[in-house]
Amino acid sequence: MATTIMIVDDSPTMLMSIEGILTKAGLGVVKAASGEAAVTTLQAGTKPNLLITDLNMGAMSGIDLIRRVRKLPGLQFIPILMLTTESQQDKRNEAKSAGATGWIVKPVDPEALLKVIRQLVPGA
Amino acid sequence: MAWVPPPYAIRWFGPFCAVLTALALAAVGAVAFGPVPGVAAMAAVGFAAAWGASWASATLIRRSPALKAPPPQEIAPAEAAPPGDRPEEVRAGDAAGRAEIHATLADHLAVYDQLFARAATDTASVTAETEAAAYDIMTSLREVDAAMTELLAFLDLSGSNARVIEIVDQTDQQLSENRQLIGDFLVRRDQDVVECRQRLDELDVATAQLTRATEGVQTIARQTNLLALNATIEAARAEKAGAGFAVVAKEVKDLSGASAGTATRIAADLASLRESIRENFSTLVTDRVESERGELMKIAAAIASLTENMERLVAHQRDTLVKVQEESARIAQPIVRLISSIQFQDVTRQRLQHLEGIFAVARTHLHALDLSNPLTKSFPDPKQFAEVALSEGPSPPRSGMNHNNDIELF
Repeated sequence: MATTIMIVDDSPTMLMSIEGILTKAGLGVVKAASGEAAVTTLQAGTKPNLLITDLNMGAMSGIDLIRRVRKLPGLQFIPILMLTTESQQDKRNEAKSAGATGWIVKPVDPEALLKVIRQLVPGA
Repeated sequence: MAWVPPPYAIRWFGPFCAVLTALALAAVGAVAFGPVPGVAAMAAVGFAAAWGASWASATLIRRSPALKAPPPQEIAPAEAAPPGDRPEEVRAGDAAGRAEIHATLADHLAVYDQLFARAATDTASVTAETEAAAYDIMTSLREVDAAMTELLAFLDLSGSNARVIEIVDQTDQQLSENRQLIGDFLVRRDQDVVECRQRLDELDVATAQLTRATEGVQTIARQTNLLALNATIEAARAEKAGAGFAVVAKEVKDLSGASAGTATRIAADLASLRESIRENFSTLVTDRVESERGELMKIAAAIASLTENMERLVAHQRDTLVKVQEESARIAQPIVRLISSIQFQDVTRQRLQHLEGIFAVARTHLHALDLSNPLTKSFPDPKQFAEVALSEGPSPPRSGMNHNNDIELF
């Protein structure tokens, strides 16, 4: 079964960029343009192997999304990476408390991103 | 410092002078014109004249530099004396000055407000335009990447290169078989020519035997002719008794002559037939076979040339396909890097949006500066504004940053 990564970002350009990197590596991709859309997709039954979310996304931030995802059945333990332009430590701590697995500062090198994904999802 | 009369003195100076003048002129009128009309007329004229003079003097006093309010810029609010310690007119002048300063400042701040609004609008426009451009670039890159991926997949999965080589190998094998068939045909034709020559030689032998047979017939005819001649001689010697025998001898002689002639004609016909067969063989077999050999050799040469060209074509196509594969793989990597590099747009977008936030805070701060009341002392805290406006945005400049912590797993 192919590894599926969910990408959540309010920037269409970022969605396409990360999707391009992941699909080139043979990974399946599910995209969501907002936290609300991501929650709806997950509630509909999508079970990604890993979730990558932006931090600043309008109404529902990435940290809010993580808190929501951690309450959904079957998704309490999936790896969630915060992919953001911010690098402040207090934000990192807040994301960690919310349940994030890791923090990646944009722009991210494709190989570095894939290395982290393969580290968190064996067989990816 | 020049002496300044108190305000009440200025205010009552005119009426005071008017009353005194009216009393003085009333006294003069009473003496000159009588007690009633003189006093009334002169008192009225005197009062009016004195009032006018006092009004003029009071006006001059108010307009004197010593009494005018200082320019607004010379007023230092912090150094101003408490209102209760200053005259009312001075306080009125301070208020007027502040109002003028505040009006000027309000004009400047309105311009700044417009500038911030314009900057926010332009920044938002830049954000939208760069986002759209980056999206277009990304879309094109994804299309190029998809095409390259599809091409490489086609080359890998369809085995185009191997398939072409296989087809050309089959063609080459067929051409080789055709060349072999032509060679075999030529060999068979050569064998046919040899067999024909053998048959011709056998025919030649048979003809020679027939010729020798005719020579035997001619010999017999000559001997028969001699025998007929001898019979004729013996018949003549026998005179009448040999008359009949002479007739037989003559017939025998004629028969032998006819036999000899026939044998001679047969020999001539055999010689002619033999010559004709050799000539026709040379024409029909030898020349035709040589002609066929020449044509077939041309075909064989054409096949050889075709094979060589096919091999060149295969080599060229193989090189082309290998080049396409190598170049496609080489181009694929920069495309992936380009797709990744487009992330700069998101960084730029968030930095520009942070600028828009700063502009909005600045405008809010400007709007909070109420300059309509010259005496207001309630202003927003500039430190708080500066703290918000100068705070680090979501995307601080990347240069000079420590990137060791860009990826952190908790």
